Amino acid sequence: MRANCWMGRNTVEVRDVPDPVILNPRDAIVRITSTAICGSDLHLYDGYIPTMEKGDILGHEFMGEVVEVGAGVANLVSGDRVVVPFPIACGACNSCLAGLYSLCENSNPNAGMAEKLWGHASAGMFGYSHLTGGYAGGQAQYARVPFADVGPIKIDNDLPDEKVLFLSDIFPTGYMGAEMCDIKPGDVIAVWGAGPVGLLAMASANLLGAAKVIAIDRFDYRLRRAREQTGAETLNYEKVGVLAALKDLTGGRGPDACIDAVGMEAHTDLGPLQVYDRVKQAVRLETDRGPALREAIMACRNGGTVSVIGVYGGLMDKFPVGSLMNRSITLKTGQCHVQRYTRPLLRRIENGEIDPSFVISHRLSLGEAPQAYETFKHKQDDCVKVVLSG
Amino acid sequence: MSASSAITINQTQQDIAARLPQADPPLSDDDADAEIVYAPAPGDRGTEVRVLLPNSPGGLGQKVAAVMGLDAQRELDDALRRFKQLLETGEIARSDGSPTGTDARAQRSQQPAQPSEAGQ
Repeated sequence: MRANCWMGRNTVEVRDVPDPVILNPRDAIVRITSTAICGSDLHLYDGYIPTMEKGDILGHEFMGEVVEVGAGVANLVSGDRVVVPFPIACGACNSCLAGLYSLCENSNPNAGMAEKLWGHASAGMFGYSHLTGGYAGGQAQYARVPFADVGPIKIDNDLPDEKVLFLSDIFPTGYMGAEMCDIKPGDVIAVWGAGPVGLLAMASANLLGAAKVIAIDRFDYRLRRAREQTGAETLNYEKVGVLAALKDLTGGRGPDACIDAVGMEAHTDLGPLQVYDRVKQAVRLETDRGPALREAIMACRNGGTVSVIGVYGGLMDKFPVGSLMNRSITLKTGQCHVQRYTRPLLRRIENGEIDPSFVISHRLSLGEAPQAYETFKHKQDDCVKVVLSG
Repeated sequence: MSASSAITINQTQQDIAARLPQADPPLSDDDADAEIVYAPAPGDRGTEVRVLLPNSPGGLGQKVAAVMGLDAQRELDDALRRFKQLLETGEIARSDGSPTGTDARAQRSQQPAQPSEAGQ
């Protein structure tokens, strides 16, 4: 089959690789009809996530048609149309039973590797380094899906791929980011990052009853999409001071909750701080650049919540712990527990409450993946979200 | 030099003990003299399994083994993880990078995360 492989920093190639086969009874093989490039794939592309190997197939947002199931999969048959969540989860361990699917205790064969970096391991994930298991990803023609009796959600309606594809990651991730804000009537929610996850966090905050949503980014074309598609007020941090502007927009209080939808490669227009983080990251003295998270904490109202769905990998400097502690800020985090959200969010799509495809800017073929990574990385051609098919 | 490890398995002590012969060494190895202590996990979360291996080889042999990723602690950690996977899910988690499942030695020389020719 053809698959988009990581070949080193800033290099991906669409190559011929062997087709996947069933390895375990609870596996299924899916022929992929649509797959997407995630902002978090750029952290791999840019070389900031450790434990990548040359030849790793990328991609963790995909859907398609079941073509084969293992003997232990009773709920799917060949021909079923499914969306596959990015975390691989067994459904039987204590974490899965508690709904914490991205922390499945059994799906990461490299858990020992992750424990060295993080203390405890996360679940296995598709196409996301060997720390999260070393599973081939979904930017390919086929994928092997472990625990296929737990993760994949069957799509029985005739909604087009692009309306349901994002149930694999970014819609549940944005939704969980908003849900962690515990939104009460009248709440103002600020979202750092108007990329696909940030946009879906804004739309989700609206679904959950936010009185006002404020988007923070530096790309006007993304802020425009936030205004037009989610009704957010927007702040371009290259043009205004974010902390002062947020105080102004909230009567001095600060947002009730702040969502970090940026993650480890955050940018700041404060030159010296950007240089400090870039240098330390380049020489691996810190792995994560922190301006978005730092600012989200500083901006949050006293007693408010900071919700982190942007991906971080290791260590960050200059973490404003004094602001966090003295002002009773609640910090909530996590890789999305996608399996918890697929069914309720599919219902919201079917009911017409939301169409997550509003984030898509580019529709390309799998063979165009290398150019798509470049376009996405450098924010060329007003790129927000790339979907690859066939 | 001893090795010890603990894991919580979401099953009863009786069910766990009954399937111990299906575990990998040293858990299933009578000669390893593994001391296994069970305790109910608080909050209805199954059973805490603590294993102590008192008679692991020590000294230079241990250091050489550690460099090669073969030390008793890793072997015990791996065996416990695999045993938990088997009991809770019915299978051993296998990925493209670790096609034979949890194995600390394989974590040092990962296969690329793509299917292999042999269907491994």
